[in-house]
Amino acid sequence: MSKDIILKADHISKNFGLTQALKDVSIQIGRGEIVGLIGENGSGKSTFSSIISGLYDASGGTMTRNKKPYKPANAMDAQEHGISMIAQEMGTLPGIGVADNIFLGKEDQFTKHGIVNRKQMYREAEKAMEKTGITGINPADPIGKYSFEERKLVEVVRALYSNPDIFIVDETTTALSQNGRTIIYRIMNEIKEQNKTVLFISHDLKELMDVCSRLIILRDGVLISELEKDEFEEEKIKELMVGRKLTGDYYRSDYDAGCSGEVVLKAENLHIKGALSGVSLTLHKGEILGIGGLTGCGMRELGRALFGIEKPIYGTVTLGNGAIVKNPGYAIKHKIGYVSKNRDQEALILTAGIMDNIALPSLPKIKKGGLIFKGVEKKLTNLQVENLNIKCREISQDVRDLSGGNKQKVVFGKWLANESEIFILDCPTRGIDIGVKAFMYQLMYRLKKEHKSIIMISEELPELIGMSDRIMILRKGKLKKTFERSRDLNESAIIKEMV
Amino acid sequence: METKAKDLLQKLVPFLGLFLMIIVFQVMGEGKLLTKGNLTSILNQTVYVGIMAFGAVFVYAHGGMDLSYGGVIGFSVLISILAANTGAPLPVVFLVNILAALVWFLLNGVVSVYLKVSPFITSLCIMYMCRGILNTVCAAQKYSIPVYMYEYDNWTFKIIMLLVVYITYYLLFEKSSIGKANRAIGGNLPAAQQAGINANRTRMTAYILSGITVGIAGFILMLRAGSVSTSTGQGLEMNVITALVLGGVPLSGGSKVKMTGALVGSFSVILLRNGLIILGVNERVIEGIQGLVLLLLVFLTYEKNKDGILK
Repeated sequence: MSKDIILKADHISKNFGLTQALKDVSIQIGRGEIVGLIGENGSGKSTFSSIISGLYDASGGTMTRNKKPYKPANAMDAQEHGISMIAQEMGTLPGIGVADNIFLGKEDQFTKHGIVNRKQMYREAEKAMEKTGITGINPADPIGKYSFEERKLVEVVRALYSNPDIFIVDETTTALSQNGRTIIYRIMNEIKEQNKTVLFISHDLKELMDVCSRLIILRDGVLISELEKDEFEEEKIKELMVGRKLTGDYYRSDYDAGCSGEVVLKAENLHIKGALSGVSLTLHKGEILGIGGLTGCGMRELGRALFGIEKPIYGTVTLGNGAIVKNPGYAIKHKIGYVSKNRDQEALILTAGIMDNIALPSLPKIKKGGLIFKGVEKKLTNLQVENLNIKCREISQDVRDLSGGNKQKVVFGKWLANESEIFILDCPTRGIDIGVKAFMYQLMYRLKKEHKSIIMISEELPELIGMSDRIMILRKGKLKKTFERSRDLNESAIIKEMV
Repeated sequence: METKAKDLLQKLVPFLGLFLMIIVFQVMGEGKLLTKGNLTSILNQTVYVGIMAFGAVFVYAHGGMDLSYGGVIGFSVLISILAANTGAPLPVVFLVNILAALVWFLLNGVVSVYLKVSPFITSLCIMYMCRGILNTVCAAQKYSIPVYMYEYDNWTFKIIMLLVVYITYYLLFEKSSIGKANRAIGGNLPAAQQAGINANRTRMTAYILSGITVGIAGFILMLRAGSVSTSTGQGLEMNVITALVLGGVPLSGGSKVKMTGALVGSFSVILLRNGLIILGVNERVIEGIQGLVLLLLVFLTYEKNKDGILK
């Protein structure tokens, strides 16, 4: 760490009601470094960055910024102090232009006599994007024209416009493809070169180890350890995060790709406008079929089509017996479950209880004489809460109060409760911590052993290689190549087919 | 334990509100509230507002909005009185009530659900269409029910109707998949669809269930009023919405919508209006107060629903 301290936090603590999210955390951040903040869900890393960036008040402790006391009143105040942040949950405002998003709340500089000079605003936006090295986005366009990833980059431009000397990146890369990540890494390195500082929060240990010059590990709101680059060691960091030795294998350890020849789901020559052009696949009983590719390769739409959400313009999705999967209702009736990548938007009713969420797909099954009895619903839910070890106060608790990992367990619980035979999982471990991730992999392996079939769509190559019997790589809406499970399969061989 | 107590308190608020109103109006109204005559009057109005609210719960649960109740019930009363005057027997008149209301709710549902017009606009237009028909038909002539029908405006019948409809709709809403599906749609439409719910069919069913209750309420109103005029049913949509809000039903829909809320709220809204009359407040001023109370309650519950109370 450089000697030039840019931000100093002393004995910071934060309480949310009875929960203590941070306990006496003291951290020093220097100029010209990329500091990684890592820890499991609920370790307090996001709380800490939110306090720095003015979103929360600390319950105790003090901060010093360039040797002066620092206590931001809100995010705007923090920005004026040269600290800005991009976070996973934030986003761009839909319905307005790219430039309007970049200069949100800063329109005054372009305003004369109450009229915004749009030309000047576009020029300035163009300049700002050039400075960050982002191309292919027209500031005059409506934001809705761009993909999720491009919108994230617009957010980065917005955050960097105020020229911060501390840039906080909170869980942003999780949702991005390799391409988008590369751009963000480049920007982070440039900031470092300019002798400014990046605070990088991520679940992805590998990227943190690659990008950061120093790692700070939090567990249960307590600062556990600080490691310099030469001390980075994956196993050691994981142990420090979890607080115990991780036993057993992370992924499955066998290389037996054998499964029964029985076909349970089949897609033939699927065409989806703008996404897929002629993709076929067969899923066998007891098989884990991985599907990978870059963002926009069509794998998400493929998953949605297999579940009957997306209607192909040509081609069919059929069950083992030849019946056509028409819609999600039909798919569920025939024991297919789908885990969406957009958990909070599509897979859960956040304002409803755990029980209402878990029981929803199973209602037709547990109906007795047209009526659904609470006792049956409770039994169904309790079984999954126990089975999946969902941490909650009670099963009527709103799902929105749960942590990311427990939310994802609720989504899995929905399909396990309905005794699904086929699981279509779109990025099933996105945004969840190592502990729950390992649990999910074990669960998938257990399901395979119980002769259930799984399609796992993922942007993370290690998990595709680690879990799949076969991996299909899509590129620009077409099947590029299929890999069989093997000890020798490595990431670079697959990446070659993806790009 | 702490959160449990809070949950319980939230559930009790509508009951506490009702209880508080009873005490305040009883004391300030010098005991005129809880007299036999006045209670009869309260119950009389609660029956048809309540029955409509039971159906409305389904539409509001999926995030819908309906302003057509007053107009449609007026239309239902008009058509059934015309039918009764042709000599049709009472059960047939009852069915005519339901069918007349159902026609409008089918239209309401088709336009809102399948043609994707905002339910707010659709129902507002339907209310106006019904009002237009009433104004035209009833302008020159007043229509009344045959004399023999007056004897059916009795307590046993009305209480039984209220209970039968409540229990049926309670079971449909709380204990069967149609209620749960409507709430799921109100909570998160894509998630509901991905859990296998046919959203269009579910929402359409809500409109049909709501139409049936408006027809039943129309039958009771017809027997009670005995005649139809241009003002029949006027303002009832406001009473139904106020009933839901007073009963703690979030207008944004979702899993917090409860059928008991419609029952408690119906008593509350009628009691509120009745209590103000006892205190000598002018009928026209009461409408203003009701509007203010509704706005205030919606505002107070706004914070709890991040998505906003209305979509």
